Amino acid sequence: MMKIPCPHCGVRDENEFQCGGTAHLARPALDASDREWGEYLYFRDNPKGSHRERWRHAYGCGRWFNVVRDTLTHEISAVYPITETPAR
Amino acid sequence: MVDAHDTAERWIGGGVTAERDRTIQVASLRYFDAAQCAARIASALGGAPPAAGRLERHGLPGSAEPFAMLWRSPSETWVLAGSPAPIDALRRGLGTTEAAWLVDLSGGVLGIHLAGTRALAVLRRLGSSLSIPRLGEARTGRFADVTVTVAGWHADEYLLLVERVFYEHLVDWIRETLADLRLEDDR
Amino acid sequence: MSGFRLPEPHGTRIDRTRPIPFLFNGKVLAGFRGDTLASALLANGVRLVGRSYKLHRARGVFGCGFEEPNAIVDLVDGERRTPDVRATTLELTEGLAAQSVNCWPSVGLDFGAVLGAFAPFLPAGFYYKTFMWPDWHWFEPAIRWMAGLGRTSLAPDRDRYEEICVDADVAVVGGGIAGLSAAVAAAEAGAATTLLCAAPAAGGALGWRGDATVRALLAKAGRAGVTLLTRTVAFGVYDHGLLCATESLAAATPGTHGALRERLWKIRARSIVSAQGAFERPMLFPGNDRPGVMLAGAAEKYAHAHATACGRRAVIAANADSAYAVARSLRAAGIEIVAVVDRRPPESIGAHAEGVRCLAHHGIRQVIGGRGVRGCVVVDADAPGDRGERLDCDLILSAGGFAPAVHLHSQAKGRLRWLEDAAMFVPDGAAPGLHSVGACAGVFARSAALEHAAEVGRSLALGFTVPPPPVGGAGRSLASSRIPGVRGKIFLDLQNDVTVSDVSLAAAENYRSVEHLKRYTTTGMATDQGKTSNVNALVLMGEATQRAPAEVGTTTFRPPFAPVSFGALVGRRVGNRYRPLKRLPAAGWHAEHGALFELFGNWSRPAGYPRADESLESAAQREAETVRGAVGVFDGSPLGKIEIWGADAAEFLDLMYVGTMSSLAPGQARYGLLLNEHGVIVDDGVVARLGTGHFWVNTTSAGVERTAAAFEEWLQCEYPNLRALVTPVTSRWGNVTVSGPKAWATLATIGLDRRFAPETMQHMTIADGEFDGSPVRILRASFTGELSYEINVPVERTRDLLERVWAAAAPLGGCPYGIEALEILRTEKGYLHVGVDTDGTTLPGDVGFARGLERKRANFVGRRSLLRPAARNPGRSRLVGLKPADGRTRLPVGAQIANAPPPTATEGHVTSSHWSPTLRAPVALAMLARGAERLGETVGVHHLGQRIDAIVVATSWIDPEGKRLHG
Repeated sequence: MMKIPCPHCGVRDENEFQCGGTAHLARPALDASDREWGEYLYFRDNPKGSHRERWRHAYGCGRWFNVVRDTLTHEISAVYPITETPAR
Repeated sequence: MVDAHDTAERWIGGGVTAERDRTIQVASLRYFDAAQCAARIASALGGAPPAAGRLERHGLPGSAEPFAMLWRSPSETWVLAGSPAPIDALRRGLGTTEAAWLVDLSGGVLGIHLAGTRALAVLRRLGSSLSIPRLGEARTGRFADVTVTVAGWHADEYLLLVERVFYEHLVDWIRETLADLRLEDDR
Repeated sequence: MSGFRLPEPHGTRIDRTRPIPFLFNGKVLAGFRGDTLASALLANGVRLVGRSYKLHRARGVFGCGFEEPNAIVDLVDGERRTPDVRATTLELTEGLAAQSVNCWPSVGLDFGAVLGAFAPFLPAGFYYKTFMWPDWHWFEPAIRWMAGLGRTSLAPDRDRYEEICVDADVAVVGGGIAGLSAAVAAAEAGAATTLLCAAPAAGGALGWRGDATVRALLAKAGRAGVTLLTRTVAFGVYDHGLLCATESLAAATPGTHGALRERLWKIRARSIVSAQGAFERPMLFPGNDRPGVMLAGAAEKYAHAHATACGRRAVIAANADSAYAVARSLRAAGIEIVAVVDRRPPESIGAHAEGVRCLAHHGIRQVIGGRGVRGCVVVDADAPGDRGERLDCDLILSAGGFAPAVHLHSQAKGRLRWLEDAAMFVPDGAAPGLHSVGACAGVFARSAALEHAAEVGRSLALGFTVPPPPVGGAGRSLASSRIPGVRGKIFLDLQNDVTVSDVSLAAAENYRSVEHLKRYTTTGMATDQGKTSNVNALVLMGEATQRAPAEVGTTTFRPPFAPVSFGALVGRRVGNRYRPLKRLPAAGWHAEHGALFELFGNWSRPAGYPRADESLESAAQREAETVRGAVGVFDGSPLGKIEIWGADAAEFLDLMYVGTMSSLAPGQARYGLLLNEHGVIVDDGVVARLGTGHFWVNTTSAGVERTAAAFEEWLQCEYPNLRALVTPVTSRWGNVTVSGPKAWATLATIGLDRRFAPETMQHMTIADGEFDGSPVRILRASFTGELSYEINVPVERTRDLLERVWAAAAPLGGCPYGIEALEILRTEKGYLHVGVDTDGTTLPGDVGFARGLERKRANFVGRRSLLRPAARNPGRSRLVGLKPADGRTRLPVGAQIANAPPPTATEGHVTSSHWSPTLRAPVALAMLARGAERLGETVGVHHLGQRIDAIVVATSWIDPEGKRLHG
């Protein structure tokens, strides 16, 4: 069980959080092609290493935030607001 | 399935007392930005929303209308009082502002006081040590598998606030824990 | 019968003044306090303790701790049965009753032992090869009966278990001299230190030898404030420094049922120190599984700690210098050492034992004695075919070198390296967050271990760089612990009956990867997880494929280090605490009125109110009929309630729901479907506007958390600039729903304002009022098709309101109704139950909610998915009504609709089905391909080989125009 630093509540156990999967997915507009919409719904990278994802402190403050987690070591190297889109 | 309803309101074991707070009133103060409405809240109630993770108690226990405010999230503070008066005062003071919204949750959130030198030992059996507040703090976390807001109320005393539907579940878990603490002491 | 008690001063761990009687296979035996079951059995001369897993061979105690493969017993105590307990780590307690496992009718006369005769036909992979023809299922029952170990109890477990979460700066695993030294140093340097020790007392091997340093360290640990947890087994290292362990409390409360039995410790440690020591590696020779063959270190421990001699005349089979220390120690205890048969050449032997015959470069070719060792034949290592020399003995001790317990290091993702000289895997540097000290780090010299461990403890406490371990001190061992060329059955994994030839076979069949070797031969896959077999298996695999052990590599070490009981993992989550149940605010009122409570989602709520002579089904019929004819009272408190507030609340709800909510005037309410981004229906409900920027949302009872979470996710992540706040208020409001033609007649008498009368308050409107001094929020919405009032009341007044409503409804012929009646009523009306009539593929158009969508402005959640070709396929399913052609046969829920009997392509299935008491006929809902075009068509409904003809009809049977809704 990981320790996840909630930006508002501090470090808590993983079982208080909900993982929302890959972060920074751009929701296509209504006139997007079927292909664009399909990629938004179904296609995800599955990197070995650093991964940007979003989590919610479900049993705590209820806030969503972004996390950079290494999928191999589970090391969490950064946490930043949900509204922030960092340069890659 | 008929549940056995526990009508008791006080449980003791291992030197720890758990007791339902019969009078507690709870209101949720919601806002988009705490700073924006802090002045208005302060003038209505005499206290500003606490900083993240904090519990602020106002008025002496036993004095006319003591109340407490505890931080729940960046957009929510809970106002706790022993009677409806402070919450009513806050509602009047806020008026029709668009900066803050008061939702009365009284009855929907129930309180349990956990007191005794081993109260901390009981909390450690309900949830993660990372979610247990120190004196003057309020932390919302996972205890007994449900969301519980725990406030460090006095030295060796915690106030547990839980959604009413899960109250019996939480009490059941606490009661068993106290019973086992007591058995351990008997050994 | 060859074991016996040694006189004092042997037995540092037992108390001879405290004899303890116990039962083994029905026979009364006696041991002492401080014995393990294994030491007591050995002291009583019991050699045969169990039968092996596959071949049912006779087996005796082999080790003295977690490595034990053979001495596995079931504990029987009334209806409590604890299967597969290691006798070597089980403390002897008053009244303990143990049984051998895997034997029938008894351990001495075992039916399954005939399998031994078939051993040549049961090689590695025999399941895959042998039982395929004609069908595995022919063989499965017999194999399952004979295989396996202990038996569990079918009775509920009355013992209690708990979980505790704590923090530590430094958590040290292992109470031996290295662990103690590290813990003391860490605590003295100011770190909050926890020491976990599996044994009843700390001290380890030097402890039971009476070492003075250990005594001093124990005293220091107390003074320095080390938290010492005894009888606590660390079984796993998980992410971010989480160390999990189980503390056994059973030995402290023998015979007590319903007491706390185990405690699961979750320790968040800044640093973990592993000091778990090393396991002894057994020698491999024919007959090495016979009772009387055991680990040398174990025999030494039994002699000193438990005053138990495991035999009178011992031969020691050696591949390590430790054999000579054991020889000296046992000889001093009065046990005759016939010889040390050392597999190594003389130049590799670095120790000797005074007065003990040493046969260097020799090995055992044969063990004499089936159920107990009577002797062995030894040969020169270069001449395995020679006649050799017979040595008479009743005990053969195996001293093949050591295998450091690198389990926790490996779980923490530490790497290993192979030490050629000592023939062992040791940690290759520290693991993330975990450092090894003592024998598990490969440090075997006492003073070096002591100093290094202290340095590690101090460095971790102060944040200094941790020094590397001074690996060494174990002497020289050969990688191979057998002499090549001897013939016979040599056991590698005693618990799973894996032999040396199984490994050769696997290699011959090209299973080269160690992970494949493990799974094909099952070596290391028993309850002991190969603690005595893994290294030997790797060495053998290397020999068979011309690779060094380092090249072969090890399998992945995963938690748990030792078996963990389900009870410990479950903790308090049993019975009603299995998942958090939600209780009604006025549950007592319902119980008093005859409610039968059932679980709906996580809610415990009335399914119905059956009278003395009624089944639940007939009660539901009566209740539904009463609602249609008079009035019913329903507890709707579980209905999800969410308030939305803010200038952009209306715009936000337009983005969430299929329906348009921004066009509602204050006081109006509208039905809404909530979709996910796939366009699939996930919830439905009623949205009511309380004011310009204030809405009241009713969700389904089961969907409220999901819906509130979806609102928050969209608000926070996609629309952070919208000024809207979401506050769930389900628990704050009770809800009493009054439904039926006499609903207003009922409410008119409880003191509600006349403006709520159906003439002035319309269907799908909301208004605030007052009941007996409390605010109420009344919604005119209906899930029954009848005139309905949903009255929301401050939760603590729920019972008051129920009582008042009931006092008014009862004289009008009303009744309380439960979920079952509600299901009948809504099915008669064709109202959708999300999750019952819909599934993970259902789109709004499939249930008739597609009209007008294109005119809506907001790009609501899931909208784009409704434009996909698949969503617009005219062949999609549609919710329809079904009635049986014969007018009386109930259509089973889940039954498939097809024109030919199965197997055939299905056209749909029945989703809801009831007997309508009002129509006196069955009614059903179904999802049916192109259903909208098929009204009047007869279709086949198939259930358990039967075909029922049914006619496709519109979904509403009762009052399709909706007149009754308006009262």
